[in-house]
This record gives sequence, structure tokens and C-alpha cells, in this order.
Amino acid sequence: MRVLSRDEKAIIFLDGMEYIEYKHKKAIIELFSRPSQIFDDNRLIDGYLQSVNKGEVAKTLLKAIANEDFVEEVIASNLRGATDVITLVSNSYPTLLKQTPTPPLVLYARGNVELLSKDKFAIVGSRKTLLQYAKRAEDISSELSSNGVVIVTGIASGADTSAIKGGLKSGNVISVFAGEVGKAYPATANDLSNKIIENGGLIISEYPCGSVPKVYSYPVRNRIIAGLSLGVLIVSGNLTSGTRYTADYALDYGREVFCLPYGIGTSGGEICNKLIKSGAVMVETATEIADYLSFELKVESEPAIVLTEKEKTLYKLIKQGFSSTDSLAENSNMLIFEIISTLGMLELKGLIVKDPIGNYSARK
Amino acid sequence: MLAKYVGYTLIGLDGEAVEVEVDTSSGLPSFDIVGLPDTAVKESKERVRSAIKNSGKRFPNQKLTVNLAPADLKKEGAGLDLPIAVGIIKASGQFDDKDLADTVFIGELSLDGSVRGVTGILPMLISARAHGYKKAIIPFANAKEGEYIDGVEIRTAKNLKEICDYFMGLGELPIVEKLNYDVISENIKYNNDISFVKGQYVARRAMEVAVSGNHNIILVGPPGAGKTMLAKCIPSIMPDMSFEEALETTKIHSAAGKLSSEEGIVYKRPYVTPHHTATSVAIIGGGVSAKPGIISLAHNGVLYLDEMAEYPRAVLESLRQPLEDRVITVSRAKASVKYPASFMMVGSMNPCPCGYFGSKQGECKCTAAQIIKYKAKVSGPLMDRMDIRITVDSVKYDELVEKAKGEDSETVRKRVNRTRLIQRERFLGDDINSNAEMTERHLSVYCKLSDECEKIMRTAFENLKLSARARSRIIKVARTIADMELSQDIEPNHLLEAIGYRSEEV
Repeated sequence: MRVLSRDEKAIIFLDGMEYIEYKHKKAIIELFSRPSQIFDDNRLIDGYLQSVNKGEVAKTLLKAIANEDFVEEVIASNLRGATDVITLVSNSYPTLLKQTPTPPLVLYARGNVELLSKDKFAIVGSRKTLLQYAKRAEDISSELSSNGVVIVTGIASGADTSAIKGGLKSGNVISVFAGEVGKAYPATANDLSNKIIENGGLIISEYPCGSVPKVYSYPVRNRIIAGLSLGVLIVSGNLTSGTRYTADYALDYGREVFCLPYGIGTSGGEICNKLIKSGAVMVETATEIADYLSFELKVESEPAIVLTEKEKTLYKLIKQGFSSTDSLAENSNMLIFEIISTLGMLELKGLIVKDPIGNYSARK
Repeated sequence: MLAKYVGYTLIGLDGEAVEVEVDTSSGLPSFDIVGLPDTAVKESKERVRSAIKNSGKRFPNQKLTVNLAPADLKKEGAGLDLPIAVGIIKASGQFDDKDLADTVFIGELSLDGSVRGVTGILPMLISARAHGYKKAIIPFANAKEGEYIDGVEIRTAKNLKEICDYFMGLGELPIVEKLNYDVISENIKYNNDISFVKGQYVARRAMEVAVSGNHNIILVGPPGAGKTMLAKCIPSIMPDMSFEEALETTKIHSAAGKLSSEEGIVYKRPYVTPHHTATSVAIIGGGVSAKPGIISLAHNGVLYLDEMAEYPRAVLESLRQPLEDRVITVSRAKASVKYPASFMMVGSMNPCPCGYFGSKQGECKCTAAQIIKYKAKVSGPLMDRMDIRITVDSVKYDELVEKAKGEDSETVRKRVNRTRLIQRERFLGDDINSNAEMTERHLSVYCKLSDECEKIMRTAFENLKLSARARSRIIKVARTIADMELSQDIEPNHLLEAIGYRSEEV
């Protein structure tokens, strides 16, 4: 951990005082020209807290401030597990997030904090995401992130995981946790969160060490995801899904909301269709998003790999959307064992991928 | 007076000769059986007494001692009734002295003197032949089981009186006609034919590969995709059973009392489908006297576990060792018996609890956590033993009615027979029969990869993140595909096809 300035220390300390509400913390910081002054001037804090009828809180807080060892202890314990920290007064605090009405006072970070200064785009959705939508989310994430756009998402299974997987290759991915940055929740996501760090990604949270995600932390966390990003892609979610908070925040903050369309009778994406009806942008590919937000995408070049006639035939069919081996057999005039071995070759050449249920798709 | 006859009892899967000695002497009338008889043998006293009386013979009013030798062998079952009864009649001087030293008697007696069928006749007769006995008298009900034993004159008896008449020259006992196994095995009819399966090209091909190399296979797909139908077709494309295989399997079925009286020999490969509520004892074998379990009944055939994820973990895990060793030793207080259990395992399961994960026909309502939990029900090591894993999806109605009929089972079976023959010739010196049984040592001898294949394997290993075990599994399957194409060496396309069948962890 780098050496912290007195201003930063003041904010981190105040952030650790769980008994003070966010709005009061923010007000206290704004009382002074420099946050570090809270260590020097008791009267202003006392006066403010008395004026909002928080006399008891004032007493406790002033006593805590007076105890220098305690202050250091709080700061140290808050920062455990984090490799860096960004406070509201830091220069590196993301501008877009700062513009929101309720920016987090502190962002505890693990990983590459430089990602915060790049263009960011959020991809979110529910844990129950249909496979083809999850795959599409991964494709979009992969295409955007490999072109320098940082993908912002959570850490849950489903859409979040797909978004992260798409971003892992380039490392342009930020996962916002609803608890401390050191521990993924659910614990099954620990592997994934380690991979984010290994690949040069970033994990941030507004919660200090020791915070366990609560049911209500997720909607609160979602404001950070929306706040950080230029736009939000809603992959999936029913009408009660937590994803709707992210969409709501994005709309409040004036960020662009994109949605994948869902067919009639396809469950799991009601929120997307509802948002589209009320004006969200319907997209299917990364290119559409990039056009809208003026991201620059490199033109996809045809693979320079030499293919045999049979491989070409199958690759073409797969690109057209024939995914199962049986459907390829029906549409290709090839013998089944030829198809299986040709698919194996295409897979080895890295042109197609086989999903867990045995369907093939062209690799992006 | 002393009389001595030979009976047989069953120890595990093998018949053991039991010398039945009957002695009558003067003294208070009594009837004792000595020589480690179990309850069923002890009870034969009462059956024998009534049977002799009701067959028009006299039960001697003397001191009677029956000795079953060897004395340290635990005798089981009611099959010794017949030699005991004949011995008593002889010892009490009721029929002429005739040399019966090379005759084996097997049969249970009913109170009215009729001879009932017993289980395990076939293994007993096989042992009797090996021990040099030339004649046997068995119950009429078991006649079918004697049809395939060459070199022993087998006569059947319906009741005790017939036997006495026969020995006194007053009547005849019918001799069991010997049957030619080849004639029967050529005329097998199967209920299911692989040509009934519509679409499912991959599954059909994978099935043929699996059967050709005796590879274990798992079918994953939504409910109604036809997994069970596909599995049911497997026996119809399995290679013909050789006489030795048939005898081996019949021995087990006979010992377990599962042989139907119409068929003396198991000439169709067994297809055993235990329900998922079966206990591990039922599957593996056990009980007080260490009886064979379902996996031994599936010897030389197919063990089909439908909805594999629904079986208790302990049951599935207990299959790991027999899958590897192809025998199972069932040990109990009374006995420890080694049963053969060389079967091809076919499993089927849904991809997720609701069954529709990834299906085109339905919509999956499961969360990722649920799916992971469901998959975890089948352990990794067990999955590792499945050489081929394929997914099947349900077929649309149009495909059901429009599709041209595919190849029928007979055509496929002929190819499979040919492929198996190649394997048998290759493994002549080794004690294995099929590619699936190859160990690392065999792989290094019979599955040398060319430079090109090695390159493919290396790429696959790195790109697809294969495990070491997956590598040898792929090579084994590739060997089978090469055999199917009558290719001496494993070619790149064989290897690539095998890679397509690899099992994949999610």
C-alpha cells in the first residue's frame, strides 16, 4: 500500500464509522476545505451533528477522533485486503462516478487501478441467464474489452460471469463487489476473482474490509456500476431482478441503457423488453454499442488459417447458426464421422468452440 | 449296509462335488445327517423320508447315518436331496447293485416323490465334467441347462420312482439332446433395432464406436430425447457372444437363480437396468452367502444406469473398482467369492435438474448453482471412466416421420464383430479382449502416434485443457475408430473424431 495523505486518511477513517449515515459523512467532509481538518476542528463537526439532532453520535465520533491510535487502527483495518484505495479527494477518482449524486467516499481496490481512468461500459444481468444470452454477453464483452473499453460488472454467476470471462483476455475488466474486495461472494467466485487480478483487471468496492454483502448492498452497489460507466448493457433479468436498479440508476445519471431483445415466451428477459419499450436501445452486437457510444472497434479480419474444403463447408454452416452436430450432418452432405473429425480440427485451429452441452459456435 | 453316491453343491460360481455316504446299521431307528449341512440340507431329512415312502419304497426302520464329504465344505441348497434318497434306498437293499460311481445326482425332492428343479445346475455340470464324471441325473425342469454340456450323458427325471425303475431296468430316463450353440446364436431376435432411432446421427455413430471397443458411454440430454431408446438398442449391435462367454454368463445367472427355464443358456448379451433405488449390495453383490449382484449379471453385457445422477453416491462409487478390474470380490463372514463383472457401462443423465439446459425444445429454469450441484452427484473419478460422452437433444416431429430409415442393427453388428475380431487378434498374448481394457503399457505398444497425430494431441492437450487421463481415453477411442476403418495405424482423422467424443467438464 502506498503512503496515504492526511486527507485520504481522514476520509478512510470517517468511512469506517459505521454508525454515521452516508449523507452525514459527506456533509462533515464538505464542512471543511480539506478533509484532514476534521482531525483539527471539533467544533464544526459537533455543531453540524447537533443541528441534525445527532448529539450522541457527535460525542462518540469526537472521542474517536481524539484517540490517534484508534484512528490509525480503523484505517489499517479498513484497508486490509485492498492493494490500493481511491478517495473522493483523489485525483484518480473516476470523473463520471463523481458526477453522480451519491459517489462512494472511498473505493477500496484490488488490482490495476489505472483501468478507472479509461472508458468504461457496464454489462450486467441476472444470475439466471439463458445460455445463448450468456454467450452473447461474453462475446460483446470480449469484443469491447479487446478494443480498450473497460467492462464493469459484478461477480455473480450468469451474466456477470460471462461479462468477466469476455474481459479476462485483455484484462480490461472491473468487478464491483458488494462486500470487501478481499473476498468474493459467493465463495465459488473466488477463482474467477483471482483470475481477474492475474489478468490485470480490477476489483473495487465501497465497503471496507470485514463487510459481508447484505441483501441491500447489491442495489447500492449497482449505483457504482452504473455511475462508473458510459453505458449499461442489460443482458437479462425478470421484472423483480436486481438488474432493474442498475438500469434505473443509469437512467437517473443520464447514461445510455442498452438491452438484448427477448422473444415472446422466452422468460428471463422481461426487464429487457420493458426497458426497450420505454426507450432503451435494443442491441445485438458489440458493433452497435460501439457505434452508439463512438468506441472504435478494429475491423475483424478473416482468419488467416488455411482450411480444407470440408472445414470451410462446416465453418460456414456454423457461422450461419447450425450448432449441433446432427444439424450439420443434415445440411452438409458429409458422413457423420467426417463431420466429427473435421469439427475436431476446426476446434484445434481455434475457429470454433464446443460448449458444455456439445453445441459448436464460431469463436469471436 | 453302505451306499455311496455323488451330489453337487454350489460354492460361489463353481460346483463342488459332495460324496454322499449312507450307512444303515442296527440300533434304535434314527436319521442323522453329518458333514456341515446348512438348514436346507438338514431339512432334507423330512423331504427324503416322505418322498421315499410316496414313491412306493420303504424307509428303513434302522439307524441311518448320512455323511456328506468332504466334511469341511459347507453344503448349501436342496440339490443333495436326490443323492441322499437314492443312497438310502440302495443302503436298505431295495435295488440291485449296479455301478453308479460315475453318475452325479442333482435334484430337490418334493414330499410326493417328484424331483424339483434347483439353481446352479449349469456350473455344477461344468464342474462334474471337469472332474471326470460321465453321467448325470438332473431334474426335468433343468433339462435346458444340460443341452450345452458335451461329454456327459445327462438324463432327466420327473420323480424318484422313475429313477428307481431306471436302475432296476424297468424303465428309461430321457437323455438330454445336445444342442449346437452356433445355430441358436445365429437366430437371435432383438426387440429394438437401431434403425428405429430417427436422426441422432452423432449418437448412433458414437454408440457404434463405444460397442466396437467396449467403451463406457454416457448420454446427456433433456427428457424425451431418446436416451433410453438409444441405450436399449445397444444389445442389438453388440458383438455375438462366443460359447465361452455365454457359458460364463450363464454360470452366473444359474448360480443367482435368474436363468429362465425356457433358455438353458444366456445367448443374448445381458442388458441390465437397475432402478436408481437399488442398494449397493444389490448392485455389487453380497448378502449372507455372498450372492452375485447386478453387475455380475451384466457380465459380458451392458449395465445401463438411467438417470445416473439419481443413484446414491455410494452405489456409483462402488462401481469404480469393478469398472477398472472387471471382477468383483464379494466378501462376507460365510464366504468370499470372486465374481466376474466385465460389463460395458452405459449411463444417461439430464444436463441439469429440470433437464432442459441447452436444449432447443425446452427452456431451462435452473440456476448455475443448481446445475453445478446436480453434476457433482456423479463424481469426477467416475466420469473419468466414461470414455465417450455425447449429448442428445430431442428430435422434432418432422424428423420423426420424414427421415429415411438408417442402417439396421444387423449391418452394424456385422461391422462390430469384425472390429472386435481385430482387437481379439491383437491382444492374443495379453489378457484383455478390447481396446477399452488397454492399460498404459498396451497403449505404448499398440497405439503409437505418428508425428502428425502427436502434434494434434499436443495442440488438443494445450488448447482444450485435457487431463492426462483424458489423453489416454482419447487415444483408446481413436484406436477403436482406426480398427473400425481397418487402419493399421491411428490416423489424424481418427484422433480428431475421438477428441469430439471426449467427456467435458463444465
